[in-house]
Amino acid sequence: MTMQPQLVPEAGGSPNPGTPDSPLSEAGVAAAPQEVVGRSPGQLAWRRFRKDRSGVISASIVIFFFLIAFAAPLIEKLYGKDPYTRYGQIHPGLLNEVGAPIAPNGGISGEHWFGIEPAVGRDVLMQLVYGIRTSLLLAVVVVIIVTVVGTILGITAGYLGGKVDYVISRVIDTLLAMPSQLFFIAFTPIVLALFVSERETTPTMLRATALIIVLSLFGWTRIARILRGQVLSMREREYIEAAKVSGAGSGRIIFKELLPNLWTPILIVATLDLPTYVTTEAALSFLGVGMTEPTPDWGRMINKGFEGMQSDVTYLAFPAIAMVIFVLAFNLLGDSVRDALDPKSNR
Amino acid sequence: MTSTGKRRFVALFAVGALAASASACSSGGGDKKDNTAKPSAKTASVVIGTAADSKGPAAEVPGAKKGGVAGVLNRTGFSHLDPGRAYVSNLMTVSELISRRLTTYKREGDKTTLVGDLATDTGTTTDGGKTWKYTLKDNLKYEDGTPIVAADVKYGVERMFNKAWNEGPVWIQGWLTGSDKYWEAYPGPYEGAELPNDKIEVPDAKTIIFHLASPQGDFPFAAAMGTTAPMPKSKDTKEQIDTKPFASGPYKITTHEPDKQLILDKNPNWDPASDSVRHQYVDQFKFEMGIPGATQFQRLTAAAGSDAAAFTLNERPDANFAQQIATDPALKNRVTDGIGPYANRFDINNLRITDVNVRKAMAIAFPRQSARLAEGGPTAGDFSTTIASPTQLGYAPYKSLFDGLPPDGDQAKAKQMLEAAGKVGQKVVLCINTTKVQQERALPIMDMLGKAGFQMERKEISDKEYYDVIGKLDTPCDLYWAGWGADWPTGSTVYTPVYDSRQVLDNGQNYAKYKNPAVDAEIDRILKITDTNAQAVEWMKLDEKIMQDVPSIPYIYQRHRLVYGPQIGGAALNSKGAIDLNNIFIK
Repeated sequence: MTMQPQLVPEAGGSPNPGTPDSPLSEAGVAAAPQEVVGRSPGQLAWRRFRKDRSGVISASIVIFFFLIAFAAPLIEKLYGKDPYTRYGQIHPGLLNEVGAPIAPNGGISGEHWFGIEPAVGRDVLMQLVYGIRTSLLLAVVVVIIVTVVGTILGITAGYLGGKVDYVISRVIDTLLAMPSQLFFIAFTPIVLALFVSERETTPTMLRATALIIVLSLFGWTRIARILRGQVLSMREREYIEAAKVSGAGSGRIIFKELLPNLWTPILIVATLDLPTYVTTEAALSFLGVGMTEPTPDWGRMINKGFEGMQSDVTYLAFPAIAMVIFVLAFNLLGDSVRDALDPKSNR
Repeated sequence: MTSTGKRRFVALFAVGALAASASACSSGGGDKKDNTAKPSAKTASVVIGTAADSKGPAAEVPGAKKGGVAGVLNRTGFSHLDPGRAYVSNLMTVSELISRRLTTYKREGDKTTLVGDLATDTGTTTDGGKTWKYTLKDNLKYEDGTPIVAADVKYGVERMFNKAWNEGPVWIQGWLTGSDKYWEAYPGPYEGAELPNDKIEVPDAKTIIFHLASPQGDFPFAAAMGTTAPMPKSKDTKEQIDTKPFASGPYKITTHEPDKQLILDKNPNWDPASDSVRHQYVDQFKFEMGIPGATQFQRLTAAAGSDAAAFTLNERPDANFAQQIATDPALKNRVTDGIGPYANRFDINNLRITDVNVRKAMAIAFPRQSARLAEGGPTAGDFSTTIASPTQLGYAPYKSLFDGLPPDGDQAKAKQMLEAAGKVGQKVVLCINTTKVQQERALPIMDMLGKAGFQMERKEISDKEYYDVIGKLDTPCDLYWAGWGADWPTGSTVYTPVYDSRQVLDNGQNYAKYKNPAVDAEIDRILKITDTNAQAVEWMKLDEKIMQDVPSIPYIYQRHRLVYGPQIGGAALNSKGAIDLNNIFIK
């Protein structure tokens, strides 16, 4: 995760030396320029972020993806196709006898802008649009769960120390040592079988929940590890000592003293985690344990496109490019967020 | 009669997630009609050959040359090479090259002939099939030069009475003892005893006589399975034979690293004059195991380096590859084409869906064309109307309920039938495994049967457990894909295991759980007919009778398009749907 964006240098080599807001001291506090303006750390971070061109671009891309995900039903209405109808199988002239799109470039036409899916004949654009929903929804929920759980356990372990720290740390070690991918493949069907009668279709929501559970189970360790380390170094600081001496309880120290200083790492890990979960979910679907047909899913699309690469490269191109753009944008955004919040890091 | 077709199928299938190679194409699929080109081998009629057919040497393959190394790609490792234990199409194909047996198949173009292999003919009987006598040919030798004698064939059969090794064919063991639990009558040679002379008699070094419990007209076919491969007692290494059999064919194993590679070199002691089917053209066969289907296609289409002289043993390409073959004429010329022994169908759980009109409505609503698109349309196979495969002796299509039906079914008509039966909203659980083909195939089935008024539910089963789940008596499934390949091209190994009500048991092969006492009685009657051709006619009549009850929905006759490198000559399908190793040469 050290993919450094092309940053506009903030200090020293600033493109417009002398502009009021550029010279920043090491601590991230505005050094007295021509005119003294009081700014909060948040404001400073925002200013730094705005000046980071790749950060702004990637943020817009990420917002665009989220918008599409939210507006999927609207797009469906305007475009007039849905992600489930097997157009190619129902309407003659779209797929040939072996199931390949007849029109060039994967069947791109005025009717089907991104072409149609080989063999099944669904609309690729709608599959993509609804696929974002699947990927983003799962990833966002997992990130929220993982961040909350990881933060609580990480801070607790770091602050309380002793036996609590020992237990939590060993659990983290155990989980980190386990081959998570194998675990997913082995346990997803078992988790599902626990909840559904064998004579009923597995509801999509349940499948999603199962995925969220297995992904969260392993996911919280990363952030917990980082926060535990941070807290270990912080709890010996004077201001914590001071709080303790003045009689503050553990709860107050954790939430009022420690947590505000931990927002930076939490935010950074969360933004970098999100694209990881999008790709993990896609990878699981690629392996056949993620979302199954007929739920639109990028991982499955890429898998299918990959298999049919030599006969219909278009079908691979759309989901693959979309995935690359999305993951890249989110990673760059994560880096920019880190640079903005914590300009000292990784310089 | 264990899990023949099933096992072979498990090996064959899982073609689910296949792929191919490069040559980015943005020119579109086009709608060329030649994509539908029918398989070249339509009906491979099987004939029982004469002593003249059995005489070696085998006719030369036109243009064949000697020398060179042929590479063979296979998806799995070879779990059983002991000829009596190999019961999956790829294993049987390799085993037939290494281990000779009493009879074997000679395939010339579309014609398959059963001929004597070690024996001078396919066997003679004087009492209507109860006693079968074989005479061995001259100058038969093992890889170490010792002669093959009739007592070794007997010992080979005796070994297969060992109960632990019942994963192989058990026809002859059952017929000799007249019991499915043959190991109770005779536990095998490792307990010290020999099979008595009233079962297998070896009057001299060249003669072997089988005394069966009841007449079996199909004995010559059963003798083509590895059960009758000879085994000298002194060379029996028991379990180790399974990885390194003692060769009697034109090639012997020099290296076998399980799941990695198998190298076959020429057996200098094999006499071509004694063999009417096998050749010894290439110097070496080099099998690479564990190569996924997708990788096999990529390597064979690219045909770089040694892959130019390589071929796939039995991996069928999927839909994407079908399009590539259709658009690349050079590739089209190095792909086999023909129908194998497998007839695929969708079984209906007859224990749960008991109303024949409901089953009929399911068949009429079934979107066969859309479903087949998921596996490459007509390149996967032609639509079937019978239980029998076209490779079955006496195959003749009859008037079926698919006549005059649109290829994607008639959902309106099905709905009317369902309404008439008062079963609108009938719950149907479609069981599929998690492979891509099965998932995509389920989409139109769910949709169209739903349109016809069924309440459709889908259930995913892991690839590994698939047959175990649908084989259970109380299976949750109501509709499921199944494939069956006969052990030999007559009806005897089709209707007996698949539609006999006595096979409706846990892990039985009557997956449709179809019970009809009249059919059972017919099966027993037809099995007693010892004239194979007369029997074949009766099997087809039984086929039609069973289909009147619609226990299953016939789907496709599986087509085998297998890719081979441009330097490979003599590549053709064998009777098991794999590439015949006997005629392979390097151009």
